[in-house]
Amino acid sequence: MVHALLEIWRVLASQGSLIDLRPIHDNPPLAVVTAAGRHSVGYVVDETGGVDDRAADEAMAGVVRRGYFTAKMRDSFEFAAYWETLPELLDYADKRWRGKKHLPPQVLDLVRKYINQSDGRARISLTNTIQLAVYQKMKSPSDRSS
Amino acid sequence: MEPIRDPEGIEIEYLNRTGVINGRNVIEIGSGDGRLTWRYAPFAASAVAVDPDLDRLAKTVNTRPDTMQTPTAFAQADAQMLPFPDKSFDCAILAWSL
Repeated sequence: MVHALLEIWRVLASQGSLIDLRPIHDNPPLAVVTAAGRHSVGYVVDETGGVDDRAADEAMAGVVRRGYFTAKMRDSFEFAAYWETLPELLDYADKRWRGKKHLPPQVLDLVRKYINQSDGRARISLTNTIQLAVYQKMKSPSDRSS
Repeated sequence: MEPIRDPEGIEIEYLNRTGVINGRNVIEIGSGDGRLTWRYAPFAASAVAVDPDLDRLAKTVNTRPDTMQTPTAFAQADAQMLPFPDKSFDCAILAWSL
């Protein structure tokens, strides 16, 4: 990660900006949205313990500490993804989340319950909290010492 | 099948609030299937999408909106060895890729 950040530093113009956009490690909430409203059904369970997040945070903090970038702003927002059917969600989870996240059985039961109660126009919603951080390129430590 | 992501457009709203994309030459590292690329590109002076996966880059190219007027380019590359000269871009985006 540090090598990638230094490579980005290289291709950025003087005082160029780096935007780091990524989901905050947590168990994101799942809901079923029907004509009757939004029904919370529980959480997708993250199995990673936030290892990737911590490594990314440490890499970014490292290049800031070494003087390559300086932090300019930080914000966060909610980012929703929607599946039209439960099989589509399960297919996605099987392909993308294996070993990283899982859907507890009780959550799936609630998804099925609300979908069955709907008029067939239900959507399944997953909401991630996204962290947005902006950094500005600084002169390299060697430039500044000369 | 891929989910429908952020139909509300909240992500691009927050990206635009940074004030560092509009009118700038932007490189996106780890552009994936181009979902975000085509959202910020209309605001940039130019956009370069970089991803190590050629299939994902092909999908990005194939989903280019007909209305897109911003010059765009695509590069199959690793983030640790970007095939561009020093100081080529005003802004770099790491979208879900650090």
